[in-house]
Amino acid sequence: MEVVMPRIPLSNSAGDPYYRLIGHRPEILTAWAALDVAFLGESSTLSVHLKEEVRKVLAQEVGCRYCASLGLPGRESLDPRESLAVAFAEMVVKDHKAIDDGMIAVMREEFTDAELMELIAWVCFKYGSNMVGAITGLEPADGDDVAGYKGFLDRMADESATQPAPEPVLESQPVGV
Amino acid sequence: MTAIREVDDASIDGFLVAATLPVLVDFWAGWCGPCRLMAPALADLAAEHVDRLHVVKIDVDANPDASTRYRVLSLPTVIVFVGNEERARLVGMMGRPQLEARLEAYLE
Repeated sequence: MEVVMPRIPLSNSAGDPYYRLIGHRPEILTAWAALDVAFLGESSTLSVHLKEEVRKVLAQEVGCRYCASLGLPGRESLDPRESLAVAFAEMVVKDHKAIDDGMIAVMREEFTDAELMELIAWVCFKYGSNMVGAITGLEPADGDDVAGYKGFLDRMADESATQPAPEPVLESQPVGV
Repeated sequence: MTAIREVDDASIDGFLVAATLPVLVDFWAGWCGPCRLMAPALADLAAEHVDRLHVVKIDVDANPDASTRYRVLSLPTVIVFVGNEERARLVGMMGRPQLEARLEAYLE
């Protein structure tokens, strides 16, 4: 098996390996974590499950081994709306220039403008996040990282349904890459 | 007015036999996001090449016999028939530029 070592050493920042990588620039890390919470917390218009399925598809395509190791796409469990969102993400990765008026019109039949804008921003944010991991050669997550990420998603799903958006806590909150 | 006609298990074979132009069959389902995303591009191709190509679509959930007979294993699948013979098969989602490139021989 090919082993690719990380090309940039992890910082001493708190958090999972992805956070520690970005943690070389603490101000960016803080804003990055806050953006994750803005997408997944109380104000989100789309479910955590939908966005996580989109993220998993992007992770398989972009080449970030860390991001891909956090979970495989679960295509068989998608409802029609989630299937459309995932297809849109795949189209962004495959050939974003091919996304035309017709495709956006289909998306607007299923999603409100706020939902669609959130989806487009999420796809772009996660595409960029995956690029960071791919370019830097971040290694696959270990069991603790995967469990921590799943816990983060579960908390976001609970909190987005019942509580105000939490402040990002770097020590315990893995980045949703 | 749409240039895409719906066919079903009962009508697809007859349509392919009688067709005087190449026929593009879009195998789709309502739950299939990639199928829905591709649909406008297929509709545009159908409208713009109405004198070169027939475009039909068939719902695989409502018409399981046709998808079995034509060995449709995943969606979206697009098959081009000429003279009732399969000439091209496109599997997976693609945007209009890729569709046009893959179907170039039938659009000129």
